[in-house]
Amino acid sequence: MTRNNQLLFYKGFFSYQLVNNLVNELFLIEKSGVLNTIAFKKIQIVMIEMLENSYKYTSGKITSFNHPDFFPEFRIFKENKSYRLIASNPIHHEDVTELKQRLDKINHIDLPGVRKWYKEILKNELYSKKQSPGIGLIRMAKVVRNKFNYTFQKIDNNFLYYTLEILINTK
Amino acid sequence: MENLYINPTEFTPKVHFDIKNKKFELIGTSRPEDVVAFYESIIYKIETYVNTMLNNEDKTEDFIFNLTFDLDYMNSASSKYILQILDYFKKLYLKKAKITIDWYYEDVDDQIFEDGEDLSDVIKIPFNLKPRK
Repeated sequence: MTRNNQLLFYKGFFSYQLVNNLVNELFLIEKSGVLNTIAFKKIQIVMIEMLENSYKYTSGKITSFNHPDFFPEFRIFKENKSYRLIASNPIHHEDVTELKQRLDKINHIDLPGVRKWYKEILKNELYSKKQSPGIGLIRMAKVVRNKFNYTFQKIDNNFLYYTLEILINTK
Repeated sequence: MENLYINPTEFTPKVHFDIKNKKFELIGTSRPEDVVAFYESIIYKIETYVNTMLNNEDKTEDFIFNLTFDLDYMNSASSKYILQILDYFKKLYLKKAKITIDWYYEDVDDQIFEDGEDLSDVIKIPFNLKPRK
């Protein structure tokens, strides 16, 4: 696969402000005419959810990390009429099982099933103590309507390197 | 009870809870860094207001209130708190109060439209899905 048409790239740990800076870069790409509004809207939602997830798995949880090759990364590529978004970040072993279960479920159900699941979680988590209902991945699945590719690469006994790759088709 | 007004920022929507005119508006982008801190005071105010209205139970059938959601972006964490706001007004809706919910979307923005459909389905109150002019 050729990936020479890279629209956006960032490597390093994310902060909340940084997510916003990257969104502003996406705005500039839209204004330059490379993206149409429909593509922009879809990419914006998926990009923010991916970056916020990456932030969630690293912020405050990873205080010392000495593997520069495995720092968080985010990339967007243009491929004909599609856009490929790739986010990578270190993740604690203990966070992997639940995440993998959710990714596998997303990849095994159809769109109406994804939407039904999304609504069930919203209903069940309405007054839970969790800050977020944990539906970021499911919301992305609703938007992109494609299966997710993901990998977990071992870094050391504490961390894996999680990569999520999502293809967004536009008309 | 006093009105509530919160200015919009890059990450947070304008909030206008206009008690005299019986209107609640949430307009702009909803992606607060601390979503609980942002929505906590809003939800507390709404809870207090709704409970006061419910105490005048014999008048709820005459009660009219409009909620407007005009969001260009909301993250998934915000949806939980928007749903909580709606859930408080649902208590009045179930007492036959006339609660109208206007949910705006851009005609190209099918995700905000779909978010409106999904929230309406979860809360079981019809939304007026309106294309933004």
